[in-house]
Amino acid sequence: MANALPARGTPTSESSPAWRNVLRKAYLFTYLRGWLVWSSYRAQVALTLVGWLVPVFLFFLLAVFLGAAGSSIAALDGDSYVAFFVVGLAYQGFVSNLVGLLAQRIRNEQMMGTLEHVFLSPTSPGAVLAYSSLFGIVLNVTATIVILGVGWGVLGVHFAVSLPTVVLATVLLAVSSTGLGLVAAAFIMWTKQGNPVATFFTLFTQFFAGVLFPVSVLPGAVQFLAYSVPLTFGLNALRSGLLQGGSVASNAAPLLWMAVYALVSVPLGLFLFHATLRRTKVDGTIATY
Amino acid sequence: MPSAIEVRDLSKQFPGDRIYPWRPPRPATVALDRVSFEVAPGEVFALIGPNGAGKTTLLKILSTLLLPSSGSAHIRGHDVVSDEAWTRAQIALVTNTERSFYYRLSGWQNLRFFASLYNIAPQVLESRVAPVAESLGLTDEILRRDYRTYSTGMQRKLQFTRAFVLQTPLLFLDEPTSSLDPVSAEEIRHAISAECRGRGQTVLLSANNLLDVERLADRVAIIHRGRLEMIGAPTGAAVERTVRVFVRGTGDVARAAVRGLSSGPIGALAAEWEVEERAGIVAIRAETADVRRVVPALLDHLWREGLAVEQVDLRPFVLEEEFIRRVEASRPEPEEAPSLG
Repeated sequence: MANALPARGTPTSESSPAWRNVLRKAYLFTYLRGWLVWSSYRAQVALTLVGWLVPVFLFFLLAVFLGAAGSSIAALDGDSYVAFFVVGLAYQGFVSNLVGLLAQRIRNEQMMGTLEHVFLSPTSPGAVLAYSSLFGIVLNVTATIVILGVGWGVLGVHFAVSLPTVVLATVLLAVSSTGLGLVAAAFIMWTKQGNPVATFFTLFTQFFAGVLFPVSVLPGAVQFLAYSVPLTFGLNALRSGLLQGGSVASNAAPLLWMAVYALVSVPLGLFLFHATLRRTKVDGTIATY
Repeated sequence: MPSAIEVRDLSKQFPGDRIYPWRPPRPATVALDRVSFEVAPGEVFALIGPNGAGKTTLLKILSTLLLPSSGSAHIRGHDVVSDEAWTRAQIALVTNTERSFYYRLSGWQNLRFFASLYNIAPQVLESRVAPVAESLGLTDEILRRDYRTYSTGMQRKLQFTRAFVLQTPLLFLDEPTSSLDPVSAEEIRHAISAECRGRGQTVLLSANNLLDVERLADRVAIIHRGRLEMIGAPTGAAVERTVRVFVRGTGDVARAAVRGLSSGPIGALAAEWEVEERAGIVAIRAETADVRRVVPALLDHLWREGLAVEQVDLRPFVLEEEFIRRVEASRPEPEEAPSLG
């Protein structure tokens, strides 16, 4: 029996320190499994770009038709309607995609037959989910920048940016949305078909979160519903930070609420995902779709 | 040193479910029923059984992809349920499907991706892939092509390349040569032998192709309806034989004679005694690893009991015959058709 294998631990990690393994996985998940696979479907790339921009121009033309394109509106804290919906659409897409991202990733892996092999590896399922979300985050950030860029360069939106507020609000929004994304991932592991959590969230936020019109337009009781999602607080902070140069201190309340959402939704999402993963190991349906 | 694999009274029952509330629920399925066996480090252990026997379920429990209902399974002394993360680092799995890679990535890119999950650095991966790919006939040009352009044979070979380069202490193979032509199947068998034997890797092999088992396995277990029916050597050329002695007489006399013999010291040398009567000839069948002692003792005993021996037949243990016999024996009797009258 020649060349006996090592007795304990991960038998194949002899050559890399841990941080290098983390960076390598981040790169391979983002570039190989993310970008190369995504960009190989050219029609999908074209349709994604169109999907980012069509709603922006749609609502711009509507605003022009109604004569609300360029004027400052008091109900919108003095912003123009175009500036209001550009920020709303940019971040609503960001959040909706993040919520649906992990569920979609799991479904893709189930259909490609790779899910069992990924979950069989020494990389933990939690880490696999974290790495899997990286490309989606990059793509969503790109979409947000593109929409904001079109708003600035093509539609004439004037930005007065407070970078700390925007970065902090974006990070908190991303983390709290990832928590909901974990809930959606747990749901897809259980139900196999459809993505009801992400679909409901997209429809709900489009209507209630102050994306296309201010929350104050909604009836009083419904306004209460609007503040059940972090995007509503996020858009308040982001519009302030992007359009009026609002500081972190002046946006402390919405930022704090998003932090609370993140602290609740991420552990809840992780718990539900692990519980569902365990259930699929009982009934033998990890790779079933 | 702990066993490479130790399975004790392992059972798995898949819960029944109800798809439509107005229909009765589907009943629970017993996939494994108190299975116990051990595999020594460096051993190639095969599981054979008809489709649905529980082979893949067993592989998945040992791979941490399924949870057992009861019993225990240990990999190198660690419980596969409580030490799940440790267990995963010990195992590479080759499944019987080609759908386990990213179709839009090349063979190389797929190998890089999966190797990174096992924390293998690129330079280490390159040094490991070259000899394995060469032995499997996967050229650099093939590895740089998109996986979606691969033939079934290439897809299976890439699975083996991935499993071999991980160099885990244990390798689980689920029907390794299914859907392969004879030449490719032989290449795969050769590669398994060279890679696993050379490194002392423990292999658990689930197979329907008995040629794989005879060529590769040190020991084989027949599993049927979730139960382990037998564990033995895959080929009896040197070890096991079936002895059949044909005598003239009645089945009752022969059975009484065999009872007397099988309860004594010679009886312990044979795994099984069977008596079958057909057209006045009684066939006494014994499975033994010690033909030299069993045959003379059997003939002497039968002669003393007054049974005339017509013919003695020594046959090597043939896995396929044994497999069919075991499966046929446990098949339920067909129910009588209801009378129309």
